[in-house]
Amino acid sequence: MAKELSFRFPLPHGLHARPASLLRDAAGSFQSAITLINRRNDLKANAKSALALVATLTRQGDECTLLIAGGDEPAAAEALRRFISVELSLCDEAPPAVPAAQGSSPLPRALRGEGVRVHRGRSASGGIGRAPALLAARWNGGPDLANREKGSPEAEFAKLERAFVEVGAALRARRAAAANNTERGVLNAHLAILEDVELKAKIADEIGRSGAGAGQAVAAAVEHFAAVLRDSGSAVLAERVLDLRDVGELLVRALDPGTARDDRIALERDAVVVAQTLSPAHFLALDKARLKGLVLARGGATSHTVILARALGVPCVTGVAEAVRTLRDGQEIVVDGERGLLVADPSPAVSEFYDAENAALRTIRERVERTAARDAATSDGRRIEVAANVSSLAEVQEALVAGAEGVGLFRTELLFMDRAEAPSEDEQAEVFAAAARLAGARSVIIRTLDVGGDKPIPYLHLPEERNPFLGFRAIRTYAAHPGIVAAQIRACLRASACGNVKIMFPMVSSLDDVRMLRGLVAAEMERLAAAGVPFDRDIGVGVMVEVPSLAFVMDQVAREVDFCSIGSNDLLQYLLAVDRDNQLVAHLYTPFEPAFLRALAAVCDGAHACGRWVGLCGELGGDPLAVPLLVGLGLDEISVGCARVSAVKSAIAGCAMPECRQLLESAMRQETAADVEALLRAFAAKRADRSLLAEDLVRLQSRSRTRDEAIRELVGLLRTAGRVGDPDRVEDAIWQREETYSTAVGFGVAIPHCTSEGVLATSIAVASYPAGVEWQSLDGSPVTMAILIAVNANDPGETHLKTIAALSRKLMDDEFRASLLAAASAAEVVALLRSAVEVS
Amino acid sequence: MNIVAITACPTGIAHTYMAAERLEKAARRLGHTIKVETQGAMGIENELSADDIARADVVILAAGIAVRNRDRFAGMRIVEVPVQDAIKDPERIVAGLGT
Repeated sequence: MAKELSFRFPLPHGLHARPASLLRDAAGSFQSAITLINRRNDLKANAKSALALVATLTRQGDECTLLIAGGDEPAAAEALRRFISVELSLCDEAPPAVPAAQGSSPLPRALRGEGVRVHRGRSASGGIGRAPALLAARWNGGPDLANREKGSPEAEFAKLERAFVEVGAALRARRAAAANNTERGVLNAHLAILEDVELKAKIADEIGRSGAGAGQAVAAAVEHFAAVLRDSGSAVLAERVLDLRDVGELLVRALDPGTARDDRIALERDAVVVAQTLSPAHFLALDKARLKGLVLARGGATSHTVILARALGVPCVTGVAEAVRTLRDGQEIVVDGERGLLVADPSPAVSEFYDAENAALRTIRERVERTAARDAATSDGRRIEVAANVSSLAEVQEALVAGAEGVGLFRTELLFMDRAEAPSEDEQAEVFAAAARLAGARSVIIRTLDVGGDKPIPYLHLPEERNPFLGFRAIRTYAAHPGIVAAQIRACLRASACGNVKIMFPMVSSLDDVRMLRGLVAAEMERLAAAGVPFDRDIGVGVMVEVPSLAFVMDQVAREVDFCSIGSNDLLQYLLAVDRDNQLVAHLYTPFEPAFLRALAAVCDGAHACGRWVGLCGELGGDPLAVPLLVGLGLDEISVGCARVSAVKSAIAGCAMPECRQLLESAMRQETAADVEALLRAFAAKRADRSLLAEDLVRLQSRSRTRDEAIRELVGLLRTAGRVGDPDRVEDAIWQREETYSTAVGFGVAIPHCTSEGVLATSIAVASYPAGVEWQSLDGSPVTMAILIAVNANDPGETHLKTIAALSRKLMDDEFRASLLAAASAAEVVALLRSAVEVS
Repeated sequence: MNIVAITACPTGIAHTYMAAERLEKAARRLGHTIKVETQGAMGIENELSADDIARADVVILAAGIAVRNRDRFAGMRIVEVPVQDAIKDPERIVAGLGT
């Protein structure tokens, strides 16, 4: 007797790739045949095929039925009922926003000249590349299949089986050798397509029903699903067509290695590749040393090719169908991935502009890399490690490149997801050891399995609970899975022989927990020692502080652990009893609640009193507003997402211990979260004020010859210092002001200025011109010094404006101007400007 | 002579304050008393009081834009100049007021 589950499809973005693959995972572990029926359009799909599920074109609100028939019906029905009511509603995520065509933003001034041929598109990957165009628009189509020899259906089936095995092995091998997470992700997507049951069924059907050769059958099946994806009405799904074709092509080539034409693009010299579309596999096959840029007529921000280009730093502009039609092979082009522009046959002036752009981008990159390479410390020399939170080996690599001083949180759940049984001890030991070797002397903190009823790991058989966050999760489940836990602990211990590994346990709430866990570690140490397996006996064993009870017994807990790391997200939600995913109470979730700050202080002080090291891993660590507070707490380490590492390092560098301690004390005495936040904002504003001026914003003896060049140079100084985000916009705002009347106020001084959203931090830049620059000044004299005032439109800062007003007045003083013009160094200019503002 | 003045400019960032500074210095050098209200990015500062205005012999408006609360000066002698002139040659403006 088949079972039926009816439901209304809940997700605003419909049944797209992510929910489809999760539903496939949920259905895939049962023997029963499971079919999804969409009652709106009567389309049916095998629920074990993500492709077929997507093809039902299910939208929010559609009436759907799951039909379950087979031996394990009751279990399957129960699991799917739970999947629909709990996980499905949680797994929606908006497809990444596709940036709007940048047709409205004005061109940079340098490209507005006559005769400059600019094509506008969308910026898909940043950077600027220049080389002759290589038109790849004619490459498509794939191998010629029409006149292939074909055998009996049985022979074709056998060939097909071999091809599937071969392609699967090849994709897995490439995944293992992938250069980064992005590439790995794309290869995973290709493997998922290869393993899709309905794709294979459709191919087999073509062979069996219409007597097609295996190659033709693959092509027909690929086209069938490609049409479905294209017609889905979803841009994100339509972009998966290229991935599907890649897999089809790999299969066809494996079927007939001898005859398949290799149509990959060979780069014999530097080139910008120009194509209608380019599949991910073709992109990966390009020689990246010669590939200077990529121009695609079509291809959105979510296509895998574009995502790969971004990961590999290849400038890319898309949405330029007209340009792709009109460009000639070998024509020199500039791909401006920063602005989404193409410039054909660049003139000397345009070349000069882009040379300067490239130099600026290089300077910015070098500044970021320099920060990344430095260990984090406060301005008065207190070291605070900035580590990264990661979920995979590839992320460890990325984090270290981004300047992380170790791994503060290695989440191990990913190793356990999307599979039929737990990973083996060997598999985990290999991953952890590789991470330890990558990190060298830096520490890698591995957090043991942290799952509860909210995460779908079928083989753990975690029960459905009313409130999984207060229930059977993390270490509380360990007694139910002693083998899995022991294997993971042994894997950590084994990795400790290869580097600086530490073990961290999640969801610890009492000293009993600590003792139980230390017991588990001691037992596995004995087993490894007895077997003669090497490990580090002094391996650090610590706890995550996320259950508030620990804050009250830190004196006892700290004695029995080697370190603690504050899991700020959970600690906050448990302390305030707020589920931040619940829109009705999410506004109560604020880390600036004085009670939370006091809890953090209790944990830090308690741990330090026993001489223990305390870190923090959680979103709070990445909030620039909060960093001074965290410094004031005396944390030894802050662990954040890879992308935040460098920002947190520079935020720490701007802090001094005594003022941060004072700030924390004063914050803990505030009465409301709003008061704390206001206090932090005032503190941040005060610090920013000091940095209105800086030596790297001064250029003496500039060689700029014209007002145009001078303004571009001044904006460039702010841009390379990270104070201007959108130089084109800032230049335009300055020119708009210049055009009302010249800002050259006489006496050889100009004060160009603007208020613009393109300014990130209100700043002053200064340049001097020994030869003088014509500026249409009020008294007709050439300008020998320009002082650029750039004000952030969103947050000008009252104190900044006061400073600038005072400075403007001071510039009217003859003596002051004379001393400024006579200054011999950038340091002297900054000191003079600063003293002027302070005296007045 | 008692002078009151208002300075203002399109962005209110620099010229407003430069002009105020120049007018103040020039007037004092020529032996007059002056009070200058600035209407800039920080709003109105050093605001002219009713007393200031009642005592004044003349009003200088050095602004590239419309001046706020202009009706305060109804019936008074008003001299309007571009803000850039107040920066370039304030003494000529002050001297031109007569005695």
